Amino acid sequence: MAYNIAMVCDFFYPQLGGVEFHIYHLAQKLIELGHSVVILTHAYGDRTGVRYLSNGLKVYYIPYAIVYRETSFPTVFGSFPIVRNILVREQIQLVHSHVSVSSLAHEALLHATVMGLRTVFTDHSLYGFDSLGSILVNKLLRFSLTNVGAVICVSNTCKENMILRASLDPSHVSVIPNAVVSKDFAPIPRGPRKSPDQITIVVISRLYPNKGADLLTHLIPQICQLQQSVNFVVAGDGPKFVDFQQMIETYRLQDRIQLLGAVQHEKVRDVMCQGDIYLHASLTEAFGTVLVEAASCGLLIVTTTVGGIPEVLPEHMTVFAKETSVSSLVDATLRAITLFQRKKVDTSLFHSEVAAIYDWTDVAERTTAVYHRLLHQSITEDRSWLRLLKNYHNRGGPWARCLYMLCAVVEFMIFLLLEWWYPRDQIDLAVKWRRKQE
Amino acid sequence: MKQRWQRLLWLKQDFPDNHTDPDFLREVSELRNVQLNPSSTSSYSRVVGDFLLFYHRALNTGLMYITFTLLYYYRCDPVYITGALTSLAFLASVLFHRATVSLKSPLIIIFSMLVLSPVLKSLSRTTSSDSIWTISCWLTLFYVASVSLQSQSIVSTNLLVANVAVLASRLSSTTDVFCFLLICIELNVLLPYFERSLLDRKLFTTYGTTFLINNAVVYYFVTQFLGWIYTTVFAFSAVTFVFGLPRYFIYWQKHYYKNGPLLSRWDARRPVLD
Repeated sequence: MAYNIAMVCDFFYPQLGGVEFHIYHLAQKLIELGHSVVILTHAYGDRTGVRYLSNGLKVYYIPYAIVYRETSFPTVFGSFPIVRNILVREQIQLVHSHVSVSSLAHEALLHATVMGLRTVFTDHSLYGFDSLGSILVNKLLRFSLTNVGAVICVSNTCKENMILRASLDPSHVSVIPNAVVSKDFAPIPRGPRKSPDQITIVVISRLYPNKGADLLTHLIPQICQLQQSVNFVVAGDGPKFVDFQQMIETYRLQDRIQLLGAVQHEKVRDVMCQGDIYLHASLTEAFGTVLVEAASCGLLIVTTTVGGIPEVLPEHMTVFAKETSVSSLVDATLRAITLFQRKKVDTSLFHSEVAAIYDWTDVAERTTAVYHRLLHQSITEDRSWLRLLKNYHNRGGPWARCLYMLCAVVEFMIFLLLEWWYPRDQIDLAVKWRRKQE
Repeated sequence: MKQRWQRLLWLKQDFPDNHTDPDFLREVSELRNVQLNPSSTSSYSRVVGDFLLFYHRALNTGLMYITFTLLYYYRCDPVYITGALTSLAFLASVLFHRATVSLKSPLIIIFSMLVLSPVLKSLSRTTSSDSIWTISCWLTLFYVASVSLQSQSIVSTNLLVANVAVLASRLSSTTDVFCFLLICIELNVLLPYFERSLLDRKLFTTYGTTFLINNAVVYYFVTQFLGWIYTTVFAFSAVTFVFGLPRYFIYWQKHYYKNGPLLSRWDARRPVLD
């Protein structure tokens, strides 16, 4: 059974990142499974209109004002005409939105629900409950996920976070992890180690406080002092970059630490392959795709145990630091170095093991199962507007519920207006990309 | 026998993708119980008492505007009111403290105000009246806020004096300015101080009487200046504020839940730089 699916997210190519790659690879694999996928995002610079990526993956770059870090300006109803047009044109059955800070994704969920389409939402990160920003995002999420069909999270930790943030029925939330393209993260084939004592530790991370940059600047000099045979490669950029430069100069570690700055995504594998150990000091993490990538390159992982990290990799690939403290991380790193020095660890099988666990085809199949369940239960479910409105009424507190219902009613009215103003039968249907006959 | 579910993503398990950790479900139901049986809240009467104190302070501030209106629009002679109020303040302090009052600092303040009056009178003369009203309005708001937020701080007194200085330039004579300054300080610094000490000594009847007199004066003049409609609106707002808002406050207090161990599980960890 082939479905017409629209993926919606503010973040997509040409921007590069975990979410963008997730959407791209998932879409590619869904196309491979025979589905039709289009992607809706906002325009990036002069990249506006309709573009095609590999295998006929059609991307709609909708011109929108950007408010903050590539998030489009939230208008609730403003995107309805164009989104409705695209959904009708592409004969979409199912709208799959990504990321809870993407306003376009939320708006598309609302529009699709009112148009009677099925909706899926995927979240990729963790949020707290007591900062103003997260309270606002959670309120918004509670509104837009009121009538969502299914939710997908990347780890069990992320799922539990999601259940509480948006008060969802746990059985509606599935856990489908990220994956890696294992051929892009293959280790360099090498013979016997050239100098078994020399160990290189790799750090690839955006140098932000929440990625544990402060921990790293404190722990790297300690390791360098304790282990003369250990060198570091640090890749990534961010506000803490200067701290790293200062650390190197203060401790005179120019010979031992390579500070590479920002690295293009396709070069990440080459950087990883220079090392033996991957060090991850993040303070919050929903999944930690980079850990899987590093393990796939045949590196031993030293990491904190925050968020979803303990779920991701088997024990023999990781050395955990129990706490997010410098001493605990130093301890874990030394343990990993000792493992290497005593040749107690064999990383040569990591690549094939990771490839067997994390595969985009598997992710796409599990996602399709979610779609399938959703589209088949829809026959029996009551999805009249009155039912939707009642759901909004039962959602929020005394103030929020009024606002939710008001938004829903306005949305219904705009839908009726659009059906009259620009009837469905006047919208041309897009020609689907013809699949290669195999 | 089915294998126990493990919280691992790398392990292929014989469970559907939407399987939920039973431990987590139990934690959630515990959390819901805690949230449904809220911890104790403040008693309604106490909250009303606190709101009443704030309302009283706002009334005191209103007295300043009444004085200004009397001087500015009705051209009343301020000398008698000032004399009466100052003697009353002196008398009250003597009787109330039953102690000798140091005359030095009040005299210094009074004389410095006397010296400053002509300067204040012409200080913002070139500014248009509309600007003065706007500035005064904002200063009053900040003043009320500062009084309720940090009563011990000198900031509120500074804001009061700034407000009086701004308004003083609209008055016609130096005497008016001096009297206005003095009255405002007596009504907004000495009177609240006096009222607070009444409360501290648990003289609730006396305090109640001053509160009622304060109300009567404010509402009498509001009716005189603006008419009955405004009086009704003010009175209604005051009743809503004093008796209605505390209910809302207690509602929030009841539903306020912070620092639950479950809810802080997903916060970014604190780096320990040991």
